[in-house]
Amino acid sequence: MLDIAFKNLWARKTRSILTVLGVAVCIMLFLFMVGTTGYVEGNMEKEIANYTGQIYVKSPAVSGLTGAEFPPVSSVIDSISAARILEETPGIDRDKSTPVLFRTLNREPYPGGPRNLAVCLPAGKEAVYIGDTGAAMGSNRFTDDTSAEAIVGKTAAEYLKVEWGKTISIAGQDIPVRGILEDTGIQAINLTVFLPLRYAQNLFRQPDSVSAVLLTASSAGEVQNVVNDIKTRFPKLETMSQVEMAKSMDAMLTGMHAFFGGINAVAALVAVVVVLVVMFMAVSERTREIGTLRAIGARKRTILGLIVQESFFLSLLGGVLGVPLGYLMNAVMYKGLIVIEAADFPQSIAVAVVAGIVGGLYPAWRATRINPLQALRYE
Amino acid sequence: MEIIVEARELKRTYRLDKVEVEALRGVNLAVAEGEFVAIVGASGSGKSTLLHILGLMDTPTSGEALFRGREVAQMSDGERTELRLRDIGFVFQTFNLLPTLTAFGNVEIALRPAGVPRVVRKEKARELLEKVGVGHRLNHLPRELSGGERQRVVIARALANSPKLVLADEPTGNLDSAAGMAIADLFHLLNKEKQTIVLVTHNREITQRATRTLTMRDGQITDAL
Repeated sequence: MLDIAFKNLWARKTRSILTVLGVAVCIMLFLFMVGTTGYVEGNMEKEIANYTGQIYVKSPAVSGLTGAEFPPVSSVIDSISAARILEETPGIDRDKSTPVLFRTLNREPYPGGPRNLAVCLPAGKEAVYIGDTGAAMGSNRFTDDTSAEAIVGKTAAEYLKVEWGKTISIAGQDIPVRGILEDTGIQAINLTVFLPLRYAQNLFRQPDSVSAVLLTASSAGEVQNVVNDIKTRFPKLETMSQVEMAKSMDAMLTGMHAFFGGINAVAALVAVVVVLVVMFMAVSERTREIGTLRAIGARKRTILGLIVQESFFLSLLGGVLGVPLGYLMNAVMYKGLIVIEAADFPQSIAVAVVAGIVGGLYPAWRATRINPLQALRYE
Repeated sequence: MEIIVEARELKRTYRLDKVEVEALRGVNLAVAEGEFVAIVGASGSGKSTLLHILGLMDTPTSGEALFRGREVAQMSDGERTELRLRDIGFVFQTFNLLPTLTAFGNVEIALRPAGVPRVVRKEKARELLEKVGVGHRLNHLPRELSGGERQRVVIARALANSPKLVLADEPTGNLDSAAGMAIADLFHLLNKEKQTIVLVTHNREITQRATRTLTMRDGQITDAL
C-alpha cells in the first residue's frame, strides 16, 4: 500500500508540506541541541586535561549552586592573603602560580553554556592561564600591569565583534585590543578577554582583592601536600584541584544534560503531536474512504498499515529536511564552531521516524475502528 | 441451486435519539445462486437496511441472516471482512470511489487484500474495466468521469474478486435515465453470466430485467413477483 500512501500525501500537498516542515523544525532543534551538548562535553574534557597539576584557592561557595562554579567567578580573596599564599606555600612552581580576577562579561545562554569572561592576570603571568597559546594577531603578552589593554580569545573576538588594533568596551571603558589569540580548542581561553590585573582591579573597583589564586604544583605528587598546607594555614579558604574541577564540571554537565534533554524531549513530543494532529485530521476527513475500503474487504491491519505508512513518510521527510536545517542553525548560531558528528544525522532521522510512527499509531488505530456502514453514511 | 444468502424472521431496530425505529420487522428471504433480485419500496421501508445485513456490514437485532449457510451474527469481524472481500461485491449509489486513485487504481485496490499478484491484478483490473465499458478511461480520476462511467468503475470493482453475490444500493439513483438504462443493461448482462445480484432500486428498467422483484413496506416484504 506504499503507493496509495504516497498518493494520499500527494493529494493533500499543502498539508503534507506543512507537516514535513513542522517535523523538520523539531529535528533541527534536536540536532542543534545534540551538537551543542557534544561540543560542550568535548571542550570540558580538554579543559580538565589543561588543568593538570593546578589548584585554585578560593573563598567558600556562597550557595550549593556556586559550589559547582567553575571557574570560581564569585570567589573573593583579599590581596594580602593572595600574596601570602603565593609567597609562603611550599611545593608550588611560583613562576606558574598567580592571583587571578574573574569577571563575567555576559550571561551564559544555558547552564554550562558558553559565556565570555574577563580573566585578569599580572603582566608576565599570562602563560599560567593560556599556556603556550600564540597570538593570531598582535601580542599574547601585556605591556605592563597597569596599561589599558586587552588580549582577546579567538571565539570571544568573534562573538564580541572585536578586531585587533581597535577597542573593546568593558565596564564602560573602551580598551585597546593588544592581541587576538589563536584558536586553542579550549573554551576557557577561546571565550576569554584577558586584562592586566592592576588595571582590571581599578576598572572593576576592587583594588584590594582578587577572585582566586591559581597555583601550579611543582609536581603531580605535590598537589595533595599543597592542598593540605592551604587548608591548615588558610582554614577559611577552599581549594579546588583538578579532581574537584572535574567534579564541578560534571555537575555543570549534569545540569546541561537535564536542560538540553528537556528541550530535546519537548522537540520530539512536538513532532509526535504534529503528526498525530495531522493524521487524526486526515483520518477524520477520509472516514468515508476508509469505510469504503473496509466495506470492500480491506482488513484492519491494512488500514493501520496505510495510516502508519503515511505518518512514517511525513516524519522521514521531516527528519531528512531537519538535518541540514539543524546544521545550518548550528552554523548560524555558533558561526560554524560546533561540528555536528556524522553519527548525529541518522540519530536525528531515527527520532523523527519514531516520533512519526508513534504520532500515527493512535489515528491509525482510530481508523481501524471505523464501521464501514457508518462511514458510508458519513458526510 | 445453492442458497447464497438467506434471511429468517430478520428484525433490525435502531435508536434515533430517544426513538426506537423498527427498520426491519421480520423479513424472510432466500436468494439462490444465479438469481437477480430487485427490491423496491418507498424510502424508509427498510430496503437498504436489509441490503447492509445481507452484505455483512450490519447485524440483525433478532432473527437469522445466513451467508452460504453460516449465520452472520456468529461471525467475527475478521470473518465478515474476509467474506466481504472474497464473496461479496458492493455497488453504492454514491459510488464511493477513492478520489486519489484512477479508475484502474480503484479496481486494482480491491484485489490487493486478496493477495492477488501484481501482474494478475493489472491484467484483471484492465479486463474488468473493458468489460463494463470504460476500458478507454483507465487512467482517469473519478472527478474526470461522468456519473455513468463512475458507476461502471464501481461495478468493475465489485466484480474484482469474482464474488458469489453482488449487492447494489440504488445503483442508478444518481444517474440520468440514459446512463441508468445502460447500467441496468450491464446488470442484466452480468446476471446472464450467472452472477447472483441483489439490488435495491426505484428504476423500472432494472426491475424489468430482474428475475424476481420484492416490494418492501414498513420493514417487511409485502409482495414478491
